[in-house]
Amino acid sequence: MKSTVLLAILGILLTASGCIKPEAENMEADILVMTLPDSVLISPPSITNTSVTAFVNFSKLNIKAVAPQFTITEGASIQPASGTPQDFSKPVTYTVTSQDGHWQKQYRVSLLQNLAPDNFMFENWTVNPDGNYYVPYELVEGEHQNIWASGNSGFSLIAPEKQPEAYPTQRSSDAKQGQYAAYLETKSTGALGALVGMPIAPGNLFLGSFDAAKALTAPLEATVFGVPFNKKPLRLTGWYKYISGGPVTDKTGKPITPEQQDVCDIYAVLFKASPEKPFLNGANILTDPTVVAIAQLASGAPTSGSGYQAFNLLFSYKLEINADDLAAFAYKIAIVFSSSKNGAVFEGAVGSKLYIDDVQIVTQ
Amino acid sequence: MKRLHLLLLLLAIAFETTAQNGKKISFNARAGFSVGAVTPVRMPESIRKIESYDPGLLPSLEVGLDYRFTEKLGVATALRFEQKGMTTDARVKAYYTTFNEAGSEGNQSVTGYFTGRVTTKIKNSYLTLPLHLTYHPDNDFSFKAGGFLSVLLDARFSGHARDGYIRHETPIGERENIDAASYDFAYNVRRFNAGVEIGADYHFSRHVFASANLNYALSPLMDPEFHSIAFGMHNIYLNLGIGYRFH
Repeated sequence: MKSTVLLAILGILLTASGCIKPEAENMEADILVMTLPDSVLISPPSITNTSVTAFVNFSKLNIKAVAPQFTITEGASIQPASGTPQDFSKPVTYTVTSQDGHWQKQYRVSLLQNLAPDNFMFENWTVNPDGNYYVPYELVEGEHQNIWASGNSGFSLIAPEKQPEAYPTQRSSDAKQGQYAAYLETKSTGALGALVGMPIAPGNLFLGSFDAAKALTAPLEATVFGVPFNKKPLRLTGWYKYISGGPVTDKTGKPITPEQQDVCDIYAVLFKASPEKPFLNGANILTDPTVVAIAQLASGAPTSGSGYQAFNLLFSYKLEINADDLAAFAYKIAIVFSSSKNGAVFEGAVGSKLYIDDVQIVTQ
Repeated sequence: MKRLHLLLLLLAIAFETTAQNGKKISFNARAGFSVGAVTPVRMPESIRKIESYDPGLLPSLEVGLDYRFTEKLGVATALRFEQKGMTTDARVKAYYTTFNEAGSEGNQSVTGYFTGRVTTKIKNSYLTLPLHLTYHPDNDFSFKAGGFLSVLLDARFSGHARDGYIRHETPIGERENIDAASYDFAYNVRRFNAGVEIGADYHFSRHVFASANLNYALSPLMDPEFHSIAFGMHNIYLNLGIGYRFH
């Protein structure tokens, strides 16, 4: 009897403290979707935590007055307002304010014209504000194109280092031409990475975007490959230097048997994009039926001496190319560099270093 | 039933006699179990729904000492081994926390705002010294109120998150999907725990009694420098037991 009463008292006490409070207003401030007329878009916009990039057909719009529509986090607001015309001849900064009013995030929204670059000098680098790491960008007729991506944002989540120089993908002043080269180094992700079965992070750099949300759950799908391309590629040329980190370890961190020395990978893939499958990813980039042509380094073994070595890779065509579709940007190209060839499945050697500079897609 | 009452009355008279004979000090031993929760003072908005709650089996053992300075008033103290814990599964939205896969020894962690499911398992063992004022209105019941001081013997505070995503550091940080991430905050459980306690004993016989104590810790469960959970948590437990009094 007594205990029943006391249990009731406990229940009341717990209820007093334990009532579920009304749901708080949202604190997030995301751009979820950017909508433009289909005829204008060449490829679906790629949205990261702080940027939106879309390739558009400049001949079909007035770039000085484009009015994209945005879908944002429930209850949040966006400035300038969704659907108001803006001058996109330069990237436009949009500010999203959370429903509760306490959080603001700025997005750099770029509409890139259908002029895909075909040579890459890796001279221009910016520091990503989210993770304090380097990202290269391209300047095409004064247009700032964020078309390169890496796994750095995934690394920023699990590794405690915060300096740009601590990331797997960064720049180096040891360049073949100009001031900088791309520098990729396979890094250890420490205890946390090891526990989630991702003991290493290869340095990687590719044309496309990185979907950080998938970095831990579906890492192969986190690397989203491809930018629109309207010329027929013949060869991929450039300069590289590779130092192997030694024996490859597997995703549990143990050396694989028989012992293998780590090698790098350099390749380019031309594929035909469709509305259902606008991009390829780490799981299907070399094997998907939409792949039209591949140019790949035959052996990623270490380069001799301390200097750069040239590569000149022929695109091997699996499918015929359709000239009309090519002109209409139906094809996409991806160039991929990795300091550990199997780094995408977390096999590699910590300390493998790949330098890349002066890359060109030689077209017909 | 009437017979039982009569029996109790007779026992009470016998007991009363003993008490009046000046037996001021008595000892007792008590075994019981606790049920309760580690709970915020006010439920934070980030907790959207408690999907499940399991108090677990939390035994306690105690040896006590009573001293009567008048017929009806006294003080009591004891030495008690007890466990306080629970397992909960909650649905959270923008819940500020840290996932430290390597445990608290490791320096690798992801901190931020998690939205999804969080399972929390707590089981802390304490050696507790209660100090009560006691009131004995009759021979059936005695009531007590006072405080307690506990020393932590062993801490278990761990859990995992799933079916959700974390925003890195701030609600606008990089979003990362979370399938399974775990944390262990055992290292951050405070060495001492103190609070208030009230209770009542019901005397079945001269020797045997049942007791119920309700205690609430005024001191937070976690170290002051612990910030991986954004709200303070307090022990609140009901302890039920059977005791034996040595006269």
